[in-house]
Amino acid sequence: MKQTVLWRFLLAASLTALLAIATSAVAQFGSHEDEVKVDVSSYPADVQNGYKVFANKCSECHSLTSSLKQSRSPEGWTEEVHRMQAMASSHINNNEADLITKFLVYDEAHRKAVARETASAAAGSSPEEAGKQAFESYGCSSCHSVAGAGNTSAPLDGIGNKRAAEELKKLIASPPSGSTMPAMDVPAKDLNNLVAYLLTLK
Amino acid sequence: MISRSHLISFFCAVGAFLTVLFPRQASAVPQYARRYGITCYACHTIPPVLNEQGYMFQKLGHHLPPALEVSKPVERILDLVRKEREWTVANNASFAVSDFNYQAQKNTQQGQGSNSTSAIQVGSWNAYFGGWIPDTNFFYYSEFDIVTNGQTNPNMPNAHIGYVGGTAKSSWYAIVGRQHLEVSEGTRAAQIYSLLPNAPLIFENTGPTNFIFDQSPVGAAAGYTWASSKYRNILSVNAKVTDGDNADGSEILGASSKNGKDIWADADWWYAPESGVSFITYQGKKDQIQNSGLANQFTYNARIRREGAFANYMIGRDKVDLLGGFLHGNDDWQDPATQAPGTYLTNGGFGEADYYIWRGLALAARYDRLRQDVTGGVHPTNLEQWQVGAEKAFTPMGNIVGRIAAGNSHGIDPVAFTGSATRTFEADIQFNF
Ligand code: HEC
Ligand code: HEC
Repeated sequence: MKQTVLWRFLLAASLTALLAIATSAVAQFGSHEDEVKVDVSSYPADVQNGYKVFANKCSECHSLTSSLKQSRSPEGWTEEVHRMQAMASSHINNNEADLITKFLVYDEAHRKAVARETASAAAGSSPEEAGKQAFESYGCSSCHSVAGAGNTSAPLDGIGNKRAAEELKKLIASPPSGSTMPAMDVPAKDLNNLVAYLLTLK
Repeated sequence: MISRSHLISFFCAVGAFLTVLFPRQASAVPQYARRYGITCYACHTIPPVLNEQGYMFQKLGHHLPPALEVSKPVERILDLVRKEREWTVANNASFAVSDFNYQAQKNTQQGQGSNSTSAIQVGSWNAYFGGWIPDTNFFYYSEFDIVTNGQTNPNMPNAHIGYVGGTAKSSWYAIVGRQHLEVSEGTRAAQIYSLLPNAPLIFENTGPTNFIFDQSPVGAAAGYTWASSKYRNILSVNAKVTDGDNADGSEILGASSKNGKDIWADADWWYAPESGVSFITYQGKKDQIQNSGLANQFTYNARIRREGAFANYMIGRDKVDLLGGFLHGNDDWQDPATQAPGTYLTNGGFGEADYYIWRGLALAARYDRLRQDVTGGVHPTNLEQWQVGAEKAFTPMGNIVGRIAAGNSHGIDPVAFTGSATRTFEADIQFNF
């Protein structure tokens, strides 16, 4: 009798584990839904060249998605590319790094800026709703999660209780050195909206 | 005229029909890629061959090596641990690491003619459970092989727990438990896994003392690893003390009074990009039973020694990898007929060239030679083996890999002095999920 219970438990546990693994294997290897496409045909020639190097070198260890979704200031991108050069088994020379940075900075100021404008125009008029939209369009969710959605390694649930508006503003506008939070150029309006949204997370 | 897409669908069909791996060929551990959202290429040239990042990943207790920038502070292991993703079953376990293969062999035995065999089979099917204990520096790793070499033969070549301390730049680890040879030893040329289906003879050959280098004994290991900024240089020294395996790598079981003790040590130097040198030594003392079951059965306690040097040199940026290794063996040996003490000496080496055409596609060729000399033997004999093959990954992540390889091995038994030759053709497809 006891044995049957144990077997049933083991069977149920392994089936659950298999299901969990199968689901995430599909997510890991199968889905390309959130892949971002970039049309560089209107970009200057050297930036197009930079895109080619970026697409080749930066896709070796991970997809291009987070670079194409997340936001960085020009210094932030320079720093990120330097950091990637310093990973084990990364073979990106300084010349390639410059080309890649050029593309990322240009893409930030053009395609991403336009996309953020469009998204914020489409969002509701309340700062909280616009902030929620900005949270997506700045790619915050590729590092943070809210209510389990996004990257769960740095959840922001309850941040509204933890930090005051001024603190949050400072954190996002100029993250402390040594922090994993990247340097982003968030204009004042978007910053206020983001903070309004974060304050609702209680 | 067969189009490329037809060829690919043929491979997939073959894969779907069969299910699972090559002889003693390990695979990637896909839950790690899953955990960090990275591709297999982050840690492998083509799975299962490890690059520097994969090597560092092991040395840092299964944590992703962070960037080592010239002017930035170096992260402690505990900082890495704090940034780890949430612990889930899915990013700690994988059950569906499998290989389906087709093998055709022609064996020729001196004085007995030849025979041919071929089989389509589930070559291997493994499950892995590995990760870290949340918010601590402890890590664990286990490998459960359900099918090996086409045979259902449940076996656990890895089951250990470890602790890692220090910083990403200067780290140390200690491990206890069962560890397969791959765990602590060697830069790429010294790794038991290659782009080709069969590992070099010096790792896999079983000599007349029954000793095989490729084993997974139980014991304790410790090591220290230092990396310069941007991982331009990585230096590592490792030592392992183990017990409880017979010379052939099988377990000495409960009631047996046999002895088996081993000490392993290695020193590795990687210099970027992707080149390296390793020195390895092994000293063992094992009870040997000769003429088992016969009236003149006897046991002796043989000393077994191996010393080797391995190196690889990567030309261009991940383009052509030249690998080579040499292993010298000096074992005690007692003639089964006369019981006269003597030695069994081996000198073996291999040279391999891997050409990475582009990411996920490579050609490989290797030549192996093992010279064996037994006291009382008429003369030293040679075993030789060559293999050529091609490998291709079928997904952008690199987790489905197809391979074809042809090989030939021939040689003379150092004791019986009979010759034999084997020709093989293999095609396989490996799934890492
Ligand atoms: C050798 C492997 C490797 C290469 C090549 C590489 N990366 Fe990375 N990258 C990583 C790893 C590993 C991480 C995750 C760990 C971390 O962020 O420290 C990462 C993280 C990132 C992140 C942060 C994303 C996030 O969601 O946390 C960005 C952005 C990024 N990479 C951009 C790039 C760019 C741009 C390039 C090309 C210049 C590049 N990577 C090339 C290994 C690599
Ligand atoms: C590349 C990954 C990454 C991106 C992109 C990112 N963050 Fe962060 N952020 C982090 C990490 C990691 C922390 C945790 C603390 C640290 O390391 O500094 C953090 C900390 C924070 C904190 C402070 C949390 C606390 O508990 O004090 C806030 C608020 C925050 N991020 C908001 C944002 C917003 C808003 C965005 C988008 C505009 C964003 N982050 C984009 C990685 C990221």
